[in-house]
Amino acid sequence: MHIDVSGGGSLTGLNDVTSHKVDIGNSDIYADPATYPDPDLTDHLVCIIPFTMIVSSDVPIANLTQEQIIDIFTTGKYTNWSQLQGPDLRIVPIVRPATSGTRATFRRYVLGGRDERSNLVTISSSQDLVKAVANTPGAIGYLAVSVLDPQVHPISIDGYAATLSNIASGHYSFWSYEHMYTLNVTSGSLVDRFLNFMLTPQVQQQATLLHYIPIADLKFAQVSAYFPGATLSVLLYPEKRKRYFYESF
Amino acid sequence: MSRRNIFLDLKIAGRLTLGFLVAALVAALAAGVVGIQRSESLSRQNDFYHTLLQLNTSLTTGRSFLQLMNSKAQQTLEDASAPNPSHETLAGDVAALNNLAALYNQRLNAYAQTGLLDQHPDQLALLNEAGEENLAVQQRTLISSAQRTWQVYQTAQQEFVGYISAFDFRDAQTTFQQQGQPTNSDALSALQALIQLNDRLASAVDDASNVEVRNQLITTLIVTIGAFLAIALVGWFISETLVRRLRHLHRVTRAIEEGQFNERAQVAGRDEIAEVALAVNAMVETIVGLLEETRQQRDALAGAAEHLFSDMRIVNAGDLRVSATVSDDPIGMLANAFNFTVGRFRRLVLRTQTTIEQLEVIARQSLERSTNFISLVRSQLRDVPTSRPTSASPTSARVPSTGPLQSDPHRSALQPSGQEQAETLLQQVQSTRETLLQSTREELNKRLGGARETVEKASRSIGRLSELISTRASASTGGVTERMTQAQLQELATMEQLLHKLAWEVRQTQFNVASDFTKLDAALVGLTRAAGERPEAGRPSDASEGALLAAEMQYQEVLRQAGSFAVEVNALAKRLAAIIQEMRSGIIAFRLEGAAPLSEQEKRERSSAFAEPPTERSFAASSGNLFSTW
Repeated sequence: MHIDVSGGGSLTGLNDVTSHKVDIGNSDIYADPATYPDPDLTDHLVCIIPFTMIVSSDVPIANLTQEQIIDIFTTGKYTNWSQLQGPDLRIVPIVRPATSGTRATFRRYVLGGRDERSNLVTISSSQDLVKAVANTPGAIGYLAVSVLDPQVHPISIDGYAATLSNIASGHYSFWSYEHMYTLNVTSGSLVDRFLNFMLTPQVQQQATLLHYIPIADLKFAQVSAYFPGATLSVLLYPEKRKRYFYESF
Repeated sequence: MSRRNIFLDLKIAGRLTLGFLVAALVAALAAGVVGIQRSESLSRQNDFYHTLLQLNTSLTTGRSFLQLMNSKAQQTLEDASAPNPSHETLAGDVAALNNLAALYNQRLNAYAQTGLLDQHPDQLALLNEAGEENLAVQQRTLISSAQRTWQVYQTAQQEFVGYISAFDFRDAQTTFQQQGQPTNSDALSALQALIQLNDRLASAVDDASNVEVRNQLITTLIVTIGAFLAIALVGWFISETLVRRLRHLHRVTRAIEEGQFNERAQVAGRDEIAEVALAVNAMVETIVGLLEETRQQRDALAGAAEHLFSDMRIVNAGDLRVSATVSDDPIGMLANAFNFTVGRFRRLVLRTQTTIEQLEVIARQSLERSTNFISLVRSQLRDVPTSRPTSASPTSARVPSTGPLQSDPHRSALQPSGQEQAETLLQQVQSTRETLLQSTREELNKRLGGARETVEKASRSIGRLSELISTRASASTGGVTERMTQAQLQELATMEQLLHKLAWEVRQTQFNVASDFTKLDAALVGLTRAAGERPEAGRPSDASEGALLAAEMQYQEVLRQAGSFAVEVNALAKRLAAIIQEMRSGIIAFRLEGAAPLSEQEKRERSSAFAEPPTERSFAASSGNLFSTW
């Protein structure tokens, strides 16, 4: 028995597993029950991948607010780093293609569902994106911390860096579960044992070396306390809450 | 050890009951342990399944809330896109959305607060048994995932509701399409994963129950073996309190059976075996007492037999005065018979002695008379002229001329006249014959016959006595008694032989005496006839000298014949005396008078001296002296 590993993006894995091409489909995203209605499709969360915003080394900015990021990527309000107390450099946003799980996570948890502007520079793989950001003055992009490179600068969001503690405390939301999707896995089968193997401390430890976060390490202080309803909303949309929420409603 | 004694104090039935109760208790405990384990396991599984069912229902309802929220948002947008949207309808839609969100939030929080495996150690233990402890981590991850996606969706929905409330329907639609629908599907997907986890939990519980069944099987086996061992131990303990002591009792009884009367059974406790052991000990004591009594009786009998044997040896030695001690035991009865036999024998010997004395008197008289007659005849012969020695017997020639007979008055009386002398002689001969005949017919025959009869009676008594002793001997056992009996029998046999010899001697004597008397009678008849013829021959001899001479010759011949007859009678008397002497010597050893009991030493001396009978030959010597002159 041998294991073939092939890439292609988050949706590729899901599509292949639902069409019975592969036994396990890896993905960063949730399978839409409407798109993948098979009730046997099972989601296994094996680890956590934190993402981070990066800028080219000539941009000496360490932090951006979520609103600023939205205004850079979606509204186009900010086009020069000087508008954000930076050098006089044109802001060059570099994005991933539509099949990318990283892009989907970025849109959902950073842009709040908003679309990126059209006519932005699109790089298909994370490795190429690192090079592109490093080589383009004033460039800004996003990637998984596992492919982070010293050539580029990671920047915090709302003052919080992509660390385990910030994720666990709920202050940093640009991260995703790594999903392994299967169909019809019987207990004790090879795939089942492989999935269990993925959760063993050895593999999880190995994932740590690749800057993934072991699934067991993410322990919310208190699961219910993590969910105060409006907290995240305030966190995400402080202005909108002021604008649209009112008591009478 | 005190515990053991307490058990031994119980009756066997009580002990067995206790043993069975303990065994039953052990079996019940074993069954109870297995049953409790099984029921606990079943109850745990049941609880888990129940929880899973509740959670599943709750989550499924939650999923329908999520779906309803999505469709309600869609409907709100439709309501808003109407030419003149109704505020009331929109407010109702918003309220419904908020209500659904609150309900879903409540369910998800409830799950996070109560449905987690971490909060149920028994469920976690069950999963650990199945080797599915990863599921707890996964559940935590999945609920986090569901909450996170719900949070994002809820935020999007609140933004949507905000736009609706502000009648900003364009932004509301954008928010719904760009953020609302995708995050709704994410939330659904995450919830779906949480629902699917329930399936895996259920199958894990199945696995756990399989493991538990296996464990229960092992537990059952171990408990069964333990119970078996415990029950066997109880059984062994109970049987040990019985079997070992029974074996000991058996060993003791075997030892007693083999004659070891000093063996006693150990008595421990107060149960039935102890009672039997006590009974056995008491029985052995009784047997030992009886044996001692028997031994004393045997010793007493042996002593009595020794006494009797000693008495027999004394009697054997010839002392017939002995009287054995009589008692009512078998030996005493034997002694009584012995005394009776000895008494009869003593009387027989006394009678025989008397007979012998009478015979002696007769023999002495016969000897005396024949001696006189011989001297008379010899003197007659001496007067006859020596010219006619033709028919003189050789004995007459040898007869020396001895003094004592020459002074016999018969001879001098015969000398004056031959005729007178012949007459006198004839008369004497006739009277002698008659005397002899009388003594022969009457006295001797009677006496000897009596003696024979007595001897036969004694013989019969001895026969009966020996028979009696033999019977006693066969009836009783024991070396000493048997030896004693054998000795008695020997003595009696010896005595019987002696009696037989005595009888034979008496018969022989009778026969000899009878034949001698017959001869003597014939000789006397011949003599008488010769004497009667002589006067007839003498009458013609008066006429002539020759005739006288012939008569003289004839007379001489008669004389010679008479002499030879007298010599024969003399010899007969001597033989009779010799026989009497022999008889006397036969009975001389018996002591008959003064039946004083003798001391043991004397008895022993007597019995040892028996081998040499006393030799009293005075009568024989005197008679020998008498006849040596012939």
